[in-house]
Amino acid sequence: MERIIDRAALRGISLIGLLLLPACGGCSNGGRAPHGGASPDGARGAVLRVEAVSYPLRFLAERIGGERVEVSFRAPAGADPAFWSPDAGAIAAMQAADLVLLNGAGYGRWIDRTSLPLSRLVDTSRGFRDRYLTVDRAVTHSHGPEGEHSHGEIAFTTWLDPIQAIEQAAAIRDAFKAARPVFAAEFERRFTGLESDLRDVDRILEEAFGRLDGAPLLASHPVYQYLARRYRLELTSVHFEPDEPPTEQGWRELEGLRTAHRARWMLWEKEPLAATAYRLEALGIGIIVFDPCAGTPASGDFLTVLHDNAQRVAAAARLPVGRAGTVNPPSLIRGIHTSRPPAPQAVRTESCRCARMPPALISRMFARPARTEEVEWPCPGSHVSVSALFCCWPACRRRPTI
Amino acid sequence: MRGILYLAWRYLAYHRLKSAILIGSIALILYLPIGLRVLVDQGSAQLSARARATPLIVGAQGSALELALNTLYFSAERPGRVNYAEVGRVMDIGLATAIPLYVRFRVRGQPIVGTTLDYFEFRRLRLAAGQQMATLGDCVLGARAAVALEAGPGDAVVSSPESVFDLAGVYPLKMKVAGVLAFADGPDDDAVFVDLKTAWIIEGLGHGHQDLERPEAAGAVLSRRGDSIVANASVMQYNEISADNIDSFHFHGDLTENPLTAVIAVPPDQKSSALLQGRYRSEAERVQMIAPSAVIDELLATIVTVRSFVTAGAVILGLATLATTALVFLLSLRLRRRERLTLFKIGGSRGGVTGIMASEIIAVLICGGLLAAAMTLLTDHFGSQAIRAAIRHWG
Repeated sequence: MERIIDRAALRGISLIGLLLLPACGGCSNGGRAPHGGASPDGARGAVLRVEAVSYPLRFLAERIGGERVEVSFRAPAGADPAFWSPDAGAIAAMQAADLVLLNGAGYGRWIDRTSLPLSRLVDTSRGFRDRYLTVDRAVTHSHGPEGEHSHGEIAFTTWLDPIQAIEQAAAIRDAFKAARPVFAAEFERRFTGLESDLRDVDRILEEAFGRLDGAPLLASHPVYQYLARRYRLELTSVHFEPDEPPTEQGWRELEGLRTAHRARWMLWEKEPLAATAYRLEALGIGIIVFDPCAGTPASGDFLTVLHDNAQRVAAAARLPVGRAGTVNPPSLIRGIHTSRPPAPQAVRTESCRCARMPPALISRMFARPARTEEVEWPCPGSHVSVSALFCCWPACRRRPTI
Repeated sequence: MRGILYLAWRYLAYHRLKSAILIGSIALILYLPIGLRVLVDQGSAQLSARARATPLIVGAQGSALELALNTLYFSAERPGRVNYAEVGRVMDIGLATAIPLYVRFRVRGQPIVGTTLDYFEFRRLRLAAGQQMATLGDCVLGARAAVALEAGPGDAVVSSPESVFDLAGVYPLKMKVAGVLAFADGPDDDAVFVDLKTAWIIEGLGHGHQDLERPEAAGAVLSRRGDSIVANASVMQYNEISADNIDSFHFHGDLTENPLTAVIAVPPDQKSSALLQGRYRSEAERVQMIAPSAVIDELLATIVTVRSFVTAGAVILGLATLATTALVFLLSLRLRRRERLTLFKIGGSRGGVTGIMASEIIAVLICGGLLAAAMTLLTDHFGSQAIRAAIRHWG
């Protein structure tokens, strides 16, 4: 070791000289256990308490850990886990967990504002951090209960590339093995099954997007970067929120985009407002709901959600060119998930209360004619067309009922 | 026999000042080497114990001792900075757990230690009151720091500015006390622990300010271009992190480039420790990895000469004092020649008179020995606290 007698050394010497401290004698180690080593709980094989910051991580952890782990995902249903903030109780639970699974890539801004034990954090995407993608245009905006937020500079929906999801699952498997080595073989076996399932999803998505023949796509939100890279999609994003009407500025930007990007389909995280769907349809843009699955799905799981996404993409690809009508997810799911075409259904037409508003008032408020229109909702799986009266008032959420 | 002892006792009691000086001198002769040895052993053990409980430290190139003292005792002298990326590097190597430390700021003289929750587990620190820090702006006080700052859970402490003349520099951050640690009998008792990111906010690497898109901030906005808003320095920055404004706190730049004073690396075994140290032995290495125990041992070995001189001085001083004491006794016996003759004339035997003189000397020696033993016991009991106080004061 380099011997440096400097100011600090002199201070040290003077300090010890002051105290007349001579050479060390009988120094003891203190016998402390190595930090971060296998804990007594780990040796006993107790259930591993795991906290996940997104639903996909929870799914992956549960698939790999089985009954050996107890996985919690604390973001409430309906909240975007990327912009949700945990309360004191949730933070305390995370601090007490054996492992906290992070997505990495800047996912979960609250993590930067929270004190968590570094040694128990598992950054599942760290293995491919050199392949992170950036968001083309980071915009700060406000909507919903999470308040104002920005999508940041790094794209964080890493799991939409199933191969990356496998890498994240491998990181989880390794963390589980380190924490509970006694169950390593079990974790490995479960991981192998999960990997197989994810490769199946990857193949299905590859086929589904392949049917689009490289057609350009739009995305309502900049969350599909990794999906686009994996399946070589020509994808451009706007900032439309499904539960808010786009601004006129947003519409103008979309129209400007389309001059160079003649996309016929727009990927949405969930169904947009009916008025938005209507106006997109008027522009010749159909809707494909492609759920990023960051939050707990209402039904099914991560794999089934990706399967359904693939089915909707495949169904959209089957629609004839020039008939790029809005693809109504419920009808699509019904049509696709049923091996035989469903029985003809009764068509119920509803009129919206908003239609009773004085047309002049609506015209003044929204600078466009007040009208109700009858639109057709193509349902390619069942070959059933449904008609409904449809209000153009953006705040109206009444949907055609099948 | 009792008469001899009684006469000896009466003599010592009558000449109490001379007796006290003799007893004190003998006590010091005995105490100096023994008591200092006890003090020295305790000091060495304390320095070494904390150093040995801290396996490895990664820090900037420079003084290894300064790095060790800052990391172990939060000394005011700061070593060079390393980037937070070093934490990732240690973790990526996979041979040790990494605990970052940033020790730069103070709260009224108490060191602010920016770290992660792993530090508490590593040092086996437990809470005596309140709860663990949860978000930015929370702090946990060591036991002595809580007393010194007169603060407890729910109270607030304010970081001290580094220079009152540096108006544009580090500004005071009001921090909420989340909890107080139990007494740990170490430097951790004096610390104010905060999350590493809170320490960076104190430094100004992260901050929260009023929303530039709100009307009340309009006066500070210089220009708006697309998504970019340029404002002047009059934008109100928050000097307290609360539930209302925590979402506005953010960091600029790459967090991995933010500063640390040290990274404590905790390998699970000796083999991992050796392998890890090997990774940091490159000539081109811009950081150093030290074993604090080796640094402290080296420091103690460096001053072994000082100890030798001190020991030799104590021995010489002791011999001189012994010689002086012997001279005092001899002179005293000579001065008391007429007293001895009187004792012979009134019928005292030679043996009895010699016994009285010998008893006096033995009593003085025994009292001196007892006093030295008492002083050594006191040193043994309170010496460690004195050493820690001295380390805190001089460190």
